[in-house]
Amino acid sequence: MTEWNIDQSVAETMAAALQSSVKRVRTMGSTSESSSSSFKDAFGNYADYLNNLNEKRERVIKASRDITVNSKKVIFQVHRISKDNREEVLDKAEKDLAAVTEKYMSKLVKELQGTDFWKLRRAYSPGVQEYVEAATFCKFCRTGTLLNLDDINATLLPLSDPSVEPLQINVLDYLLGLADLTGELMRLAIGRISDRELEYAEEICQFVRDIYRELTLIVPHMDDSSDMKLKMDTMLQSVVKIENACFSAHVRGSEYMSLPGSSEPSSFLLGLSDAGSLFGNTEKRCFSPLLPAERFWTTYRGKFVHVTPSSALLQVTVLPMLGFEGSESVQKAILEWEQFAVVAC
Amino acid sequence: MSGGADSPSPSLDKQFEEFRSQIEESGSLREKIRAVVLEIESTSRFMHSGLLLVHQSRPVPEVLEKANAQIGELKGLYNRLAEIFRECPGQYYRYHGDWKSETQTVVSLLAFLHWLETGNLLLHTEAEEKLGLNSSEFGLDIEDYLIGVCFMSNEMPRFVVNQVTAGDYDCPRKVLKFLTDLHAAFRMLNLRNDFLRKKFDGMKYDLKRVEEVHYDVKIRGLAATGDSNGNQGVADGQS
Repeated sequence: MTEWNIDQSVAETMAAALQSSVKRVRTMGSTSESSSSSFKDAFGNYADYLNNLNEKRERVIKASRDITVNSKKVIFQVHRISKDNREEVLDKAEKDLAAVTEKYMSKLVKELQGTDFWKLRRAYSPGVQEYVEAATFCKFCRTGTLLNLDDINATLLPLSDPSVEPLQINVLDYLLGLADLTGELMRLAIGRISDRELEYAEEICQFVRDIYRELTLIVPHMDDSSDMKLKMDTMLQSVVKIENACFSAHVRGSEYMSLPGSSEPSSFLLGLSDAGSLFGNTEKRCFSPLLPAERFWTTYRGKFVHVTPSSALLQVTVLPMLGFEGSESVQKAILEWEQFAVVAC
Repeated sequence: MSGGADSPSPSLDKQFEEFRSQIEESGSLREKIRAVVLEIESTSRFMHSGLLLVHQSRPVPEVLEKANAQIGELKGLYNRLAEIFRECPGQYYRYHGDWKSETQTVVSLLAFLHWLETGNLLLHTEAEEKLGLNSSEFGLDIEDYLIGVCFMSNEMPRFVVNQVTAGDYDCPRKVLKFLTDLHAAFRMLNLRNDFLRKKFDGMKYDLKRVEEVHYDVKIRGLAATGDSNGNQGVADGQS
């Protein structure tokens, strides 16, 4: 029965507490309402502020995405470059880039006025970096020089009327964009080497080295250098890749023999994916750094004749591998090619 | 091509030279900021340790007096920060990361102090006033303010527990009312999944803890005697 007593006493105190609290709520009503309503108002303002900020951030992120996607397209367009379509490809790339500037970069102008430029940097930075990459890439392919930050910013001036602050890309985003540019240049250089534009590849190599060297002095002082340090490592890898590619082209390039009767550029890198076209016109494909680089000497009608490895290897190794061995047209092509080689000697 | 290959073009060098000086300039600015922020941090640490005496049932007015003296010092330091930023308008947020967490702590201390004094929430404008900040040039970021308020709420459960232990049975009721209102006000905000959201999510545990203390006190009839008004502040509740 003691339990019951305890319960009862608890119940009584609870009832008392409830009563007193009801009383208190009544007495407190007026005073507490005034204090809480004043900070409700204040929180209303904070809510507006946060809503506006978040909406703006979303708009900036969207614009940044659009800029990224379309700048990527420009970069891909530039990669379609080759010896004979150079002008045409670059014209289109530049036109597309101008469209990105007008259509998407312009959206950032009015969002990034005043302190928002730095406040929302994380939201727009990826897009701007990609844009810098595309713009500098176009410029390099056109002139072989680096597009300066001031020049990029000058192209952004017409986007806004004079009454508002113009959008000006900051140094940090520009440098981050440049770091990405070297990756694209590496791809371009490899592509050029396989297209036998060795000189161009070496020019690219020199350019990328210059950028890397200049950046090594700056990166340690940059604001958030962890991101940039990572990019520096990647950049060094790109530089080394280009250098190695130039090296192999140099060393093995001495074995390249331009063939009489073919003014067309010959494919330099013979990947297996190239095999199809290879068998179409064998005489143009006489050397590949992918194949072992020994020279073959053979006798032909009592003379010593220099033959590059392709013809021999094609017969011995590559053709059986691809199942082309018995193909009559291939045999004929190789025969033709050997005749060319002999004539050349 | 061959000529340019050995020495990079002068325009390339020139641009990077400029970048280097710009970035070094920004680095030295950052160092200036950090020096001030270190002082802010140390002052606010003193203030915090002074405020902690409130948990040891020291008379609130005495604690407040000491802590209030430090506000003046903080004001001076924030003034120095504002001075630095007068040189580079619009770059407030470029360096924001360097002082934001310290500022959040300062806000939480100020808000706690203010609550002890008045029983009300320190509003954003009031916080700016106390630190001598001016929204138009060097203001208090609203998110920093809100995070600071969340930090303050973390201090509440401990305060309530110690007040009750010291014999102030009315305290939980007042704190509970205050925190409930505060929590309700925060729910008006549409938050993103960020730090503020995380801090706000933590607030409900403070609220829960205070509710428990309130319940414990009430169920035993200890709170029944206290009948003072909520807006008088806890300073009166002290015996």
